Formats: sequence, C-alpha cells, structure tokens
Amino acid sequence: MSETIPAPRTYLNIDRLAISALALVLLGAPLALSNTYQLNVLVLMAVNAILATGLAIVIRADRLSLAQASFGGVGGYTTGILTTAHGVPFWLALPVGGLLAAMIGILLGLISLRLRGFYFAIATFTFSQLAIVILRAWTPVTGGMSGMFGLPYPAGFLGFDFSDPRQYYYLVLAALFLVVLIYGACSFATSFGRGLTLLGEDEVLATTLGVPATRYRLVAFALSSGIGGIGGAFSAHFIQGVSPSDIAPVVSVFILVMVLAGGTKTLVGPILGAIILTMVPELLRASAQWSMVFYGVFLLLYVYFFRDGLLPIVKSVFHRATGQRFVPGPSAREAALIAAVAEGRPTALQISDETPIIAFEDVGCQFGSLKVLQGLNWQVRTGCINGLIGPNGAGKTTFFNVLTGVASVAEGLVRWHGRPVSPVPGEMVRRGMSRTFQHARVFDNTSVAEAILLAAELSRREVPLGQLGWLLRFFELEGVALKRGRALSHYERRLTSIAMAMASMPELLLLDEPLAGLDDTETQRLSDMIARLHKITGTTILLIEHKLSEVMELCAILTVLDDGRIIAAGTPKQVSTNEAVIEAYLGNE
Amino acid sequence: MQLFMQQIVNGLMLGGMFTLISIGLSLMFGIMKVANFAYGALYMLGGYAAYWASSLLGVPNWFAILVAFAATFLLGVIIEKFGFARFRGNEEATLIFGLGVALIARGGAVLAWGSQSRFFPVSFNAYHIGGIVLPAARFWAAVASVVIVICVYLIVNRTKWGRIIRAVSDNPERASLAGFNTQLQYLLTAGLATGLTGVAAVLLIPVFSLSPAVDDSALYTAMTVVILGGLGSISGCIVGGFILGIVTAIAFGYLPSPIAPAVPLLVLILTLAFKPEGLFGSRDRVV
Repeated sequence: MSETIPAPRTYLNIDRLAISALALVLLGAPLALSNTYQLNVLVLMAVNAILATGLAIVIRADRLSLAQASFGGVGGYTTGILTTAHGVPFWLALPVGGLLAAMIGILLGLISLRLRGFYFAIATFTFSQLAIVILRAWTPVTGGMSGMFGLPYPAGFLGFDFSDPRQYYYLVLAALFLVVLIYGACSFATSFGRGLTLLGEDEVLATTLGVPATRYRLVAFALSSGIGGIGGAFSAHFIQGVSPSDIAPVVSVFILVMVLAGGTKTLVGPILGAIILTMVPELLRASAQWSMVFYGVFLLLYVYFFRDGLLPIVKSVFHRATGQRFVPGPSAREAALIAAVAEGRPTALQISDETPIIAFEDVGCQFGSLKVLQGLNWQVRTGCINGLIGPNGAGKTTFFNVLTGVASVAEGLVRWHGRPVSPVPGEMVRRGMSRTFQHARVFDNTSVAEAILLAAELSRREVPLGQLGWLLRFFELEGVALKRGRALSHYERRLTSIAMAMASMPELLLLDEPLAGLDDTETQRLSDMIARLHKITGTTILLIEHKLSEVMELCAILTVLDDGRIIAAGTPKQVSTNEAVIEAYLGNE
Repeated sequence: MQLFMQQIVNGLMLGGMFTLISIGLSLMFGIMKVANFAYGALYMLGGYAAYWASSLLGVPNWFAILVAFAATFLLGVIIEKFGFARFRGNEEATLIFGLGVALIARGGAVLAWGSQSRFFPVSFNAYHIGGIVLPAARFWAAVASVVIVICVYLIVNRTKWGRIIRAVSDNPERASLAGFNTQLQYLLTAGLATGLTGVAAVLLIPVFSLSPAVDDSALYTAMTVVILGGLGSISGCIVGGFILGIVTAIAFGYLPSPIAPAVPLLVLILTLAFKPEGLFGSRDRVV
C-alpha cells in the first residue's frame, strides 16, 4: 500500500529535458536552413505554435473551441486595415488587434461558455462561419473573398530587419516565449491556473472547492482569443496578406489537432503538436487536400490510440530504449506538505458564537412544478454532529444542494450566522462551509497531497501548512500522498475527499453518505475517524447517512426528512421512537 | 405584400428541405445521444453517390435515391460500429472522431472528384399561382421532404420498431435485459439516420448544387434546426426547420444580399445565448 517517495537522484525530469531540447532546436533551426522556402515554413510553424498554445488555455478548462483561426483573422485583419488604410505603425496596431480579438472572445464567451462542451463547440463553429460572412459583406474594407494584399513588414528596431525571414522567425519566437509564459500562468504557476486546471478535471468538484467557473473560463477564453489575434497578426504581416480562407473553420480544426497531438498536460505540448503537424505535411510535400486527409487520419489515431497526446508515447519509447524510468518525483509543494506531516498539528476552532451557523426559514425548493422541499424550518446545532436521515427520495441531497447553493431557493430564507444569504457554491467555502459528495469525488490526475493543498488554497482561507500535514496523517493518507486520484481505492478516495473538504478548516462540514460502499471494517474505521475529527477540530458536522446504527451512534441530534418536509427532529432516541418516523420508514399498514 | 407572400411560400419550401437535411442528425441526437460532426460530410458523400449513379450509370432518379440511401446507410453503420459505439458517453472523443471523419471525407472528395460544383439536370418549369412563383424543382423537393419527414415521425412514434429504438434510447441497459439486441438497434438507427442524409442530398442537390464544400453549410443548417427545435425531438426538428426556412427566406427577400447569409447564423447564436435547450428540449442536458 505504501509507496516510497523516489529519491531525487533517480528522478529525471523529462519535461525539463524536453523543454531544453525543444528550445535548442527552435533557436538553432534557422541556422541549419538556408533555403527561403524552408525558412517560410519555419515561421509558419512558429505562428501555429502561438495559435495552438493560446487555444490550449481554453481547452485546459474543458472547452473545445473551433474558432481559433477566426480570432487569428480578427488580429490579422485589424492590423492589416490599420497599417494599410490608416497608416498606423504595426507595433501600435498589434496590441489593438490582440485586444479586439480578446474582446470578441469575451462576447462569444459570455454567450456560450456556460454551455456544455458540444454546444460550445457549435457556438464557436457558427462564429467562425459568421466571421466569413462579415468579411464578405464588408468588401470595401476587407477585400471580400480575395482578402487583403501588400501588408507591410513590422518596422525594424535595434538593427533588426523583419523583412528577413530569419529575423522575422526570431521575432515570432520571442512572442511565442511570452505566450508560453502566459500559458504557464494559466496551468500551474498561479492560483488562477491551478483553479482552471481543476475546472477541466471535474467542474462540480472544482466549483465546490471555490473555483469561480464562469469568471475563470471567461478570462481563459479572453487570453486564448487575444493570443490568437496576436498570432494571426504575425502571420498576416509575414505572408503580407490575409484572406477568408485563412479563417475557415477547417483551419481552426487544424489548430485544434495540433493542441490535441501535443497534449495539454505539459507546457510545450501544443508547440510539439504545431511542429509535427506543420512539418509532416511539408516533408511529404502534401497538397492542401492531402494535408486535410492527413489531419483527419491524425484525429482518428488520436481518439483511438493516444488521447493523452503524443508525449506519453515518447516517454514510454524512451523508457524501453534506455531503461530510464521517469517517476515523477514530488513537486516542491508536495514535498513541503509531506515534510509538514511529522510536526503537523490540528488547529482547533474557537467557537465563540452560539448562534446557529446556518438555518432555514420556511425554505422551499422546486424543479419545474415538482416541489422537492417545502416549508423547512431548521437550524444546525453548533458544535455537534447533526444527522439528516430519511427514506430515498426524501430530499436529503437537495437539502445539501440548497445549503451549498447548487440548487436555488424558491422561497424562504437561508441565514448564515443569523444574516440572510443566498448561497453560491464557491462563496460558501470562503464563509466556512464545505461538503463531500455521495460518490467520493477526487481529481483523477491530481495527487492526494496536491489535492489537499489546492482545496486549502482555493478556499482562500488562511490555513496553516501544519493543519494540512496533520490531515494527511489523521486520514492515514501519507502512504498514498503522491498517488493520483485515479489510482486510489474506493476507501482512499473517500478519505481523500473528506480531507479535501477539511482542508479549508470549515466551521461546518457536510458529509453526503460518507459510509456508502464501504465494507464493515472500513465503515467502523471511518465512523471512528469522523467522531475523532469532530472532537479534535471542533468542526460542526452535518451528515446524511443510510447506515442507521452508525448514525445513531455518531449524531447528537437528528432531523428526519420525508417527502420534502421535516417530520421529526431530536436526539437519536427521541427520533427512533417517533411514530411518524417509523411510519415513513416502514410504511403504514 | 406580393414579395412578402412570395418569401413566405419560399420559406415554407425551404423549411421542408431544411427539416429533411436535419432529420438524420435529430435521430442521432435523440436516439443515440451522439453529436455527429461528420454529418455534413455524410450528406456530401450521399450526394456524390447519387450524382455518380445517375450521371455515370444513367439510372433513373428514383433509383439514384436508393443508391444514395444504401451507400450512406452502410457508411452510417460503419461509423457507428467502429467509431461512435466505442466512444459512447465520451462527448469529447465523439466530437473529435466526427471532426476526423469529416476532414478525411472533405479532403478525399476533393482529391477524388475535384472541387467544382456539380448540378443535376433539372427542369426549369415553374408553377404560377396568383402571382406567386413555385419553381418545380424546389416545390417537389419540398413536398418529398415533408412526406419523408412524416414517414420518419410515424416510424419512430407509431411502429413497433420505433418503440424498440425509443426504449433502447431511453435506457439501453434495461432494454438489453428485456431481450433487445441494443447493438443491432444502434446500428440500424445510425444507418437510417445517415441514410436519410443521403436521401436529403439527392433531393436537394438540384436546388443547392453539390461540391465537397457543402458539408459545412449542411452541418450548420442541420445543427441550427436541431438545436432550435430541441435536441432529439422530431416534432421540434420540424418546427425548427420551418422557422429557419421562413426566417432565411425573409432575410434573403428584404436584406442586402451580402448581409442576408448572416441571419441563419445569428438565429443559432441567439438560440444558444437565450434558449439553448431549444423550443422542445429540456434544459438539464445543456448546461
């Protein structure tokens, strides 16, 4: 069960190795080439790398866009029109193009980002069709179907002359470098990036932990489209023209293929994809049609064989050839948490306020015409383990969803420490309430240690590292701290999900059937843990559970729900002798 | 007023044709829960099958329809068997698979048959009713569309086989426990759905012409109709088709011709913005 942490010596960071090798190749490539045609392909490749890296930002957030080329077109046409018709210098027009693309991205995003993946893809596809119609309708300015010609090269500075393809290439490469930095910020280097990444892994869980999904996706899409606009401008001023065929939906699909090929898991994945998919058709001297078939075949290979991108395949080939294994060692963050396990100690909550943490006044909730909850008057008893029981379909999970803001309140009032609130998922975490789900939800691609760190970070509550180290030890998760969610057993997933919920040091912890699916030994161990957790941290707990004997033992106070109403409340003893409760559970004869 | 009536009549004819283009996509969404991005490409391939059947072999038009139906039926079965069936439940993989097939079909079609537009020989007769012109080709395409769509509606909602595929769609596990071969039903539905695109292609080529690039416009027309009507609802598809048809005809009748093509696209974008579940769909599948 336990896995020893690999020592740094045996650990070779392939990603760092790949980045260094790639940087060398990219920097050295023009020196090895002499022919203008080859240099042109090289510039095209670097532009594609910019477009693909930009697109990868929004794909990481689990939205497939089919409009990246259109955003490139926004950039290209904007700089094209400004430089030729209005005499604006390229360097002034470039940021305008990028900003305009980002703003159009925000507009499109406001409409479509809340929609699920397929609808988003359709919305972006439609946008790219619309862009072509607009270009055609606006012929006096855009040149219609034949496009614009004679765009100027960017003015040189510091002795650079950008009409030389080699120097232009280095210019685009510098831009690519900046784009990669932004991409890094959107993937792991900032709190925003980490939140965005989790959003791509499991939206419901990420939102529960405090990621503002809509806002983050919108920012991601704006950055993605803005970068697209910049890439498009560089492309247009290199080939000195731009036309509707550059922004056809099929071109956007090509860029998508590049991102998928390289994978979005690593920083340089999209660049690798751009290199491979730009170079291979050129090397094969493929016509436009053959390239299209090639890209199509590549997409099919992708869905059948390498959905994580090509990089893992490269790694395994490397492993087979050299015998070198790439065990990812702990990141600096993970290592710090593991080091904190030894001296980790719990921080007990100071309960000064006797008012109930959360309370319902005449709360009702309905889906369409179906009333799931009605007329609920209820409050949590602070400093206790509260239980919520009731037959299937009684409305228990909806009760949780109302508390956490996943379901909206149709009538009545929710009070948090006496003040009326309208719960919104991310905000409730910041206030000090967290939850687990019936199906133990964890992040499949994130290690246990990282998940706990992220849960604390995303809640934006000041949680000492010692507390997190203690949680790892308390839930007996040290041995699996570096395992990813998908490698965990059901019991380990359950423990991890509770540890994540506790990582924000909540005043109130909601547990939705924590004992479901556990065997007898595990049930016993976990219910002991819940009792001890409550005693040590002083966290108030609200528990939904079907295993009644454990509920009776754990809870100080029970609320019984049936058919959306509270039919009884009191100590376990009072409830278990209540006539209405017995009737609800056994049916009336 | 004369122009308005003419455009309404044009819109009704166009609506019938749009419904026919979309009915297969609607079936795939409704019964198989598949977002088929290769749909436009299948429509295009069906058109070529019919075109070559009638221009090379010289078969009569009704037989060309059968050829197109058989060819696209087979394509649908193959795509379902080796593609969609494997990715069931994985929306991203389904989407990407469809895109891949579409690229191969589009590129392959240009390589095989060139990128020029092709036309069926059609009559340029027109009927005149009280000042309103009904071009014969359009009129009969619209009539045939309506007849076919009604047949599909009746098959799905009124026949025993329709009940079976609806049961499979509703709950594949339970249908399988009840003794139905769900794999077979999926294959048949996929075949029927794509087969109908082939039929649509044959009937509509005389009106819209045929080239490898028709796949995009067929795809977004069908997507608009299906999303406007509500995913998977056949009656929604019919209503969506006629709304889009009339809106498009009015736009082309009254707006300057460069701007008019934007209107159907705006219909889709506005639907996604304000009523993504469509007129007859349920919201929980959307967000």
